[in-house]
Amino acid sequence: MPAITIGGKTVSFKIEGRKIFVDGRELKYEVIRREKDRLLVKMGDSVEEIIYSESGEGVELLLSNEARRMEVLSDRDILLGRLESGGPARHAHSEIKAPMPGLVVKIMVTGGEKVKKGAKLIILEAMKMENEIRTASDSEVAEVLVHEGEIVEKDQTIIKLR
Amino acid sequence: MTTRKIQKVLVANRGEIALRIMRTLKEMHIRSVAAYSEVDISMPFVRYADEAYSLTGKEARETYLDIGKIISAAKKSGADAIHPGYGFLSENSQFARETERAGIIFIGPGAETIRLMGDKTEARKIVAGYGIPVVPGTAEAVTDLKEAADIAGQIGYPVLVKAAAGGGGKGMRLVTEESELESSLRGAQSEAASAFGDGRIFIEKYILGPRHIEFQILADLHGNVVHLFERECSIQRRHQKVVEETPSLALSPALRQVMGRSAVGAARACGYVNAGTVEFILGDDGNYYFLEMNTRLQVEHPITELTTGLDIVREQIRIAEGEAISMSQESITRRGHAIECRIYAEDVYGNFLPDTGTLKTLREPAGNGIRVDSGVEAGSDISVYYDPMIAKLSVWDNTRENAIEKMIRALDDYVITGVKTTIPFCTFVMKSAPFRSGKYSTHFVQENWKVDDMDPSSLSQEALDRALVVAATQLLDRDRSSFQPRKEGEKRSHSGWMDGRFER
Repeated sequence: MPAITIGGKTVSFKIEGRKIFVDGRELKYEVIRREKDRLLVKMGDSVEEIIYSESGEGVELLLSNEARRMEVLSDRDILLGRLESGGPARHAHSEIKAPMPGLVVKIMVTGGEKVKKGAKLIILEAMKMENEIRTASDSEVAEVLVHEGEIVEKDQTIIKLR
Repeated sequence: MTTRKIQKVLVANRGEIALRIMRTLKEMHIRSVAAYSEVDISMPFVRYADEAYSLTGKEARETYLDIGKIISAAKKSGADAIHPGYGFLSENSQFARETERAGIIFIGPGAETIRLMGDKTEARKIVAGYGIPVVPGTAEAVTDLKEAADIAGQIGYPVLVKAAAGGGGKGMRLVTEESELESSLRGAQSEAASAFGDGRIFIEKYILGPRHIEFQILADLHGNVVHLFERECSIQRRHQKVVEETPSLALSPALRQVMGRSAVGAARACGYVNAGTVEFILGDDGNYYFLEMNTRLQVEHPITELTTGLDIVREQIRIAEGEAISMSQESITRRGHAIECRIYAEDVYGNFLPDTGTLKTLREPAGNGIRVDSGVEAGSDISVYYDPMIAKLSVWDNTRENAIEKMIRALDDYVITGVKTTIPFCTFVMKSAPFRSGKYSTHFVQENWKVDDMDPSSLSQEALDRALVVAATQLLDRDRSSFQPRKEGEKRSHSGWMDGRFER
């Protein structure tokens, strides 16, 4: 069965022809119009607009006016074990990436150091502001990949955690 | 005094504020000139202008901060005035001086006033001399740690360490005990030195339950000074404003009158001319103190325009032309309630770090009482070069309650994809009990925005259903493209309808 992962949740569903079934319930919908980043869909008693864009390996959806990342897994993807390998979400915990391009002003940790959740790792200056990059959970610094004074690109891995 | 009609204005700025100024110029039949950096050539403000000149380069310092380039663009265009907007060179006294020296009108106060008020230490001294309350602290910049520790001890912790040339939270540190003083001094100093080229620091008392209240003032060349009431700007993140409203619920009519008089007094104290803003900090004990004066048009000026019915940019131009303010303080009135939310490209769940990217879908809210000051369109880049502001969303309604509901609706109607925005945070503010009750301070974010306690992953059934529909259409697409490859040598057909017709 194909599945989606969104908001930390995995939901399996079935497609038969154009029909969608979730837990044996048919999800009634009718696509009215389809554009590059937008679907107009009749769902139940209302016409809904779904705004989304394909980004990287997933889809970014606007739900209740908040951007959500969704991964769509076909039967083939699941056979290849993408679910089991964890996907990008789990990797995010082991690598700290630069959230924006900027200048590394100060590095506050060294390799091998144990850090608590919320600990300051690095100060990155971008857009005239000093931004503190902190840990999301208790972890250990495996490697610091940048040095003070270095200019980093957005999404460049700056610290590896274990 | 003779008046001199302005015919053509160069706007030394970019984005929403450049566009906002040019709109008023158009209404006044004054020609507008844009001066743009290379990365901005496709921005709406460049094509909105009657003329546009390139400031070769990308970085702010080689474009919007380059006095020589901007003045030569102004001369080349034949502009008789320059409007500096906010940020960039707007509070640079040298820019004002060189503009005047080139025989061009600077739409703002005189260079000397900008210099005086730009130096926070100097500004407080002048204003205090006119009997306006200032926050207890150092009158002179501190030079060494020993002196700093003595002063902080006298005032009593907590104290704030601030850059003399600072602003917008840059070069500012809160120190709760003496052991933190040294590292905070160093940090503020290095930030101030790199951001402003001036590392001088002063120390002041930290006010409890503080609210940031500012007064808009207008002053002309004939000595008339009036205020256009207050703006409440206490909702801040990273010491920078994000939500503003007027009137403020923290001010009684009596306090408003007293503070308004202080604001006018501060403007008089420095010989102010044109539009400016006097910022105060109001403690939970009802005491207020002069903080600083912003010698320019303020980001959040739209809410004053919405409640007073005035166009502040038009007033600025008339004042610059030498006209006298025609209104008396008593004749200026205010109606209803206005709120502004700043829409920045930021990750509100990730420490409000700026986000960059290309705006994919962009749909602005509209309808009765809604004003959007935006300088971007779908396809525009939010780049690392400048401030990550996308737009300012302001609403007006007859009561505060209605204005809040209108803002919630407008935020919900606002569709932006491609970058993360402050919209979810602004909606949170509007719905929060402290904001609704009006009992909030500049600590709002710290006290109420608890990202760890939130569960952003929770999705409603409807939201999940929508996601499933998108997923299904994507999978059906993949099936179509991967399972129906065109076979070698297969007859190419353009349309089923044509096939049916000709193959019969």
